[in-house]
Amino acid sequence: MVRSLFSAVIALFLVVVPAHSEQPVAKLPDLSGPVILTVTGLDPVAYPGGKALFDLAMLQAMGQVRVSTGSIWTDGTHDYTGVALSALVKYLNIGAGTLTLHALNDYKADIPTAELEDNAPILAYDADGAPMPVRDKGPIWVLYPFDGDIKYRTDTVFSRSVWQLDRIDVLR
Amino acid sequence: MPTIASPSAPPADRLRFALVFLVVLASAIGIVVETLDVTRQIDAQSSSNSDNLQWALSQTDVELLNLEIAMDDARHDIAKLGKLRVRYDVFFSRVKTLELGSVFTILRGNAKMSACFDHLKQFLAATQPLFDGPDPALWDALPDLQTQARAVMPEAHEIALTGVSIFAQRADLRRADVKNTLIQLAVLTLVLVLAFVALLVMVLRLDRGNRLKAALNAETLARLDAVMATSLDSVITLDVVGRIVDFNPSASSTFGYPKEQAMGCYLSLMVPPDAQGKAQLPALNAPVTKGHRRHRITARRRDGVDFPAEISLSSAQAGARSVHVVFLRDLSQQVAAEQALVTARDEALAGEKAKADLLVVMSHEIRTPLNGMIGTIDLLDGTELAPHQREYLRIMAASGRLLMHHVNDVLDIARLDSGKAKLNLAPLDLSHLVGEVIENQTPASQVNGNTLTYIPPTDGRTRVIGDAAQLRQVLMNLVGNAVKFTKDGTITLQVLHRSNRGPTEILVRDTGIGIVREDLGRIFEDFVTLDPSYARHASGTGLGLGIVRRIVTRMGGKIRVESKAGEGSTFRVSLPLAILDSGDQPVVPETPQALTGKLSVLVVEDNDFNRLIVRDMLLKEGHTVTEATDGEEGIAQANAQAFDAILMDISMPGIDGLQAANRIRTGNGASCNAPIVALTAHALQAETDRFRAGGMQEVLIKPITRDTLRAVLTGVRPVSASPPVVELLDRRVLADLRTSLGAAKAHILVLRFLGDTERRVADLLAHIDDPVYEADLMADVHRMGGSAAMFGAVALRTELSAIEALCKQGNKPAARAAIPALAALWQRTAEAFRDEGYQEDEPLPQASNLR
Repeated sequence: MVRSLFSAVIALFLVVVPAHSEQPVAKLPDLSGPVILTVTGLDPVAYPGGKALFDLAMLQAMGQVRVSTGSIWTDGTHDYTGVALSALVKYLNIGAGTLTLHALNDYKADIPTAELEDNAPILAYDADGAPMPVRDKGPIWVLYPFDGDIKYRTDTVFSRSVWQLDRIDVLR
Repeated sequence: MPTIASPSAPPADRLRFALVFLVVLASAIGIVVETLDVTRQIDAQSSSNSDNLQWALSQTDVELLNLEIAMDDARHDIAKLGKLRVRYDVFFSRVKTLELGSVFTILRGNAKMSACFDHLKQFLAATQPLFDGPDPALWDALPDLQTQARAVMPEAHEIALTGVSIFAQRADLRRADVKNTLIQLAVLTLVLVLAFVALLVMVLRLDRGNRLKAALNAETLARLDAVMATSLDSVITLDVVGRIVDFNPSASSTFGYPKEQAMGCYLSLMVPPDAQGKAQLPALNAPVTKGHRRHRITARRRDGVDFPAEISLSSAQAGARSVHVVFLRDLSQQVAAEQALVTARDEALAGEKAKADLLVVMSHEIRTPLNGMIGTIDLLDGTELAPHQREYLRIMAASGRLLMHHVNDVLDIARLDSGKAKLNLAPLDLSHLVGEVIENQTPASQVNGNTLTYIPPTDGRTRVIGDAAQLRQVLMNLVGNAVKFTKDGTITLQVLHRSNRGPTEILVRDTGIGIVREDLGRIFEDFVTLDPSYARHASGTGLGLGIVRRIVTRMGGKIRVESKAGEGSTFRVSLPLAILDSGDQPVVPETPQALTGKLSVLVVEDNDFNRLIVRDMLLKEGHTVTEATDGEEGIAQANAQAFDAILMDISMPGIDGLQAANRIRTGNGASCNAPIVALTAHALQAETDRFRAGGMQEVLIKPITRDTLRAVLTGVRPVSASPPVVELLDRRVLADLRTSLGAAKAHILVLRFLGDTERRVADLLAHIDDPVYEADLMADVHRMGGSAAMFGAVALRTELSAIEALCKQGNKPAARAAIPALAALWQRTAEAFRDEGYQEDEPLPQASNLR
């Protein structure tokens, strides 16, 4: 509890600080759990090896977005919680570029950062109050609010709705 | 101005437009609906169904294969167990997605697919405890797991393949749907395009029609402008409130206003109100009527001169406004010409009338001295004369009579032309009439060695209703002519009926000198004497046939002549006379009764000469005579002494004969009941009627001969004490009626006449104070007079004639005042009829035969 609060404070600090200064090296918080997301292709000056690793707590600390929607791959409506992909992009100070989303099942899809919206898609890591297992599209599902708008029910959107996400490669 | 109606398409065009418009609308709606449908379908394709489902399905196959490879890898390297677990989870997730994903629902309905799924799920269910368990147990089980995985690999493959075929079918169906929709869209688009083309064609046609109409209108306008510009009449167009909006050149020249100045003015500037301040034209806002309203008005020129004009107003509808068109014609010249014509005609008429009047006056004036001459000759004839003197006297008398005859002819013409001559209709016997004429003409005829014969009608019906005196005059003239122009020949008179109901023809045929063809047409004209050679045969004024023609025309008949020079002439008089069924009863001719007894006679005459003649004639007849030289003296004598008869001259200075007779009648003198005979040269019928109405019994028209004097004195009887006018009924007329109709029929007719007259008299009395009735009064008394004459009610008839005469003179009050006396007379007349046996309850001998 104390740790999570601490992490939240750190995260807040981090969110603010990199946005304000073009500091060459960004300091990511220490991992406190298993890595569920790896981001590669980052500025090697800011991130050693151009790589950033995230555990669940770090993602949770980045700001939580709730989406309640059904999908063509699921049965009925569920409540999902995650972080907005745009928030992550901002967090990592990624400018214009394309993100390649990699899944555990070797699927991949590209999203230009310009096409990210504030709250869509999200990197959902929690479904109906429980972490998402790999056996059910976990650990992270790139999720659009499909029921919210017809624009989220296009081929492109569906192809970008990558489940079992474990890596994002940034192409700048 | 012409009315140009706003162009409007005829109903058929409008209907066509509406139809095309409906098609366009329907097509447009259809296209919108179809487009929405296509959009929906495209959306549908672009959403749920379009995910790379085949990828997802084939991934089942791939991921199972990856799992099997991972198992194989892990069997050789236990460190790769983690990786194997991920592969297992991935495959697990795949199967779960296929199992739950809504997009795969359709696959799950497929039996084969279901079976495959079940196998995969069984595999997962069987292997899950091992993957959830510890590594060593998993590692140990790997060979067995690999076998199991390989066993279900065909199932995963089958899922992929089946999915491909199902989704392909669905895609085909959807494409077909889209195709259909697109075809419908294309058809609708085509229809829309066609409809637009049709619209375009119609608009073009309408446009062409409108252009044509516009051209036509322009032409009409140009023509109208030309008509207006050249019209001789003024043409002024007014707007709804009467302001001038158009003014043609003729109007400008007529009124003296230039067009620019006239425009916008009110018409009342040129057609001002009349002297009484009344508008000469009807209000323009009066209900608009079709056609023209014509008015004679006085228009005013710019210089203030008024002139007569005829105006015709018509209203026209120009769109929603109405305009008024005024056609105005300057009538100054026409009116002047009319006036000149009227003046000329009046002058001519006045001249004619003056001439006619002169003729009449002259004739009258000639008659009086002539009267004296003839009378004196008559007297002279009664004295001792030497034979040669008597011969001279005979010549004088003949000349005098001839002269009198001419004068009478002239007066007859004047009388007939004046329209005052009336027909005195009564039953008469044509045979009797012809007999009289033959008797009269026999002496003259014998002189020329002629024979006079008469052929009566074959059916023996000679009784007719007509004016005996006039008819006699006609025959006298015709037979007189025939006698004059025939020598040693035959003159035949024939009466025949063209049919049972007439007309009746009287033929006068002679074997005389005849008339040449060229003259036949003009012998009935006035003052015509033919070839001078005739003068050797006879002399005449040439008025005889003119009089005949007038009388015949007056009777509603015709006269024709057929003649051949040297062989003779036939005059054929055709008359519409009512023919009475006479039977075989001959009519007893009127035989003048021999004068009985000597009378004491009062002669009132201012002319000494005439008085002397009359006195001597009377004395010769053996009467005693008392003379009076004027009305005053006459009245005094009559009051003083009871005379058997009074001869009264009409035109006397001071109290005239009519007034004197009236005074004698109304007074209580000794002679108040004595018959009074008027002496007059006035031969007009209306006059004699007036005398009779004035209380005189007989009228003696000058010149007076002993014969006429004797006849009159024989006829008159003293007026019975009271009532004064005695003779209510002429029983001879009634006898004639009975003879010709039969007693029974006559009885019924008389009763009908009595009832009818009773009703009419009551009517007259009822309306005595009604001024409106006056107009009918004359016609009424005239009708009643006719009936009274037919049935012999002589006194009544006389009274009615008097009233009618008063009406004619315009003396309506006097006429009305006479009505009570008439009613009293009627009561006595009706009483007299009843005394004769004409009563309703009188048994009728032959009543049964009447029905």
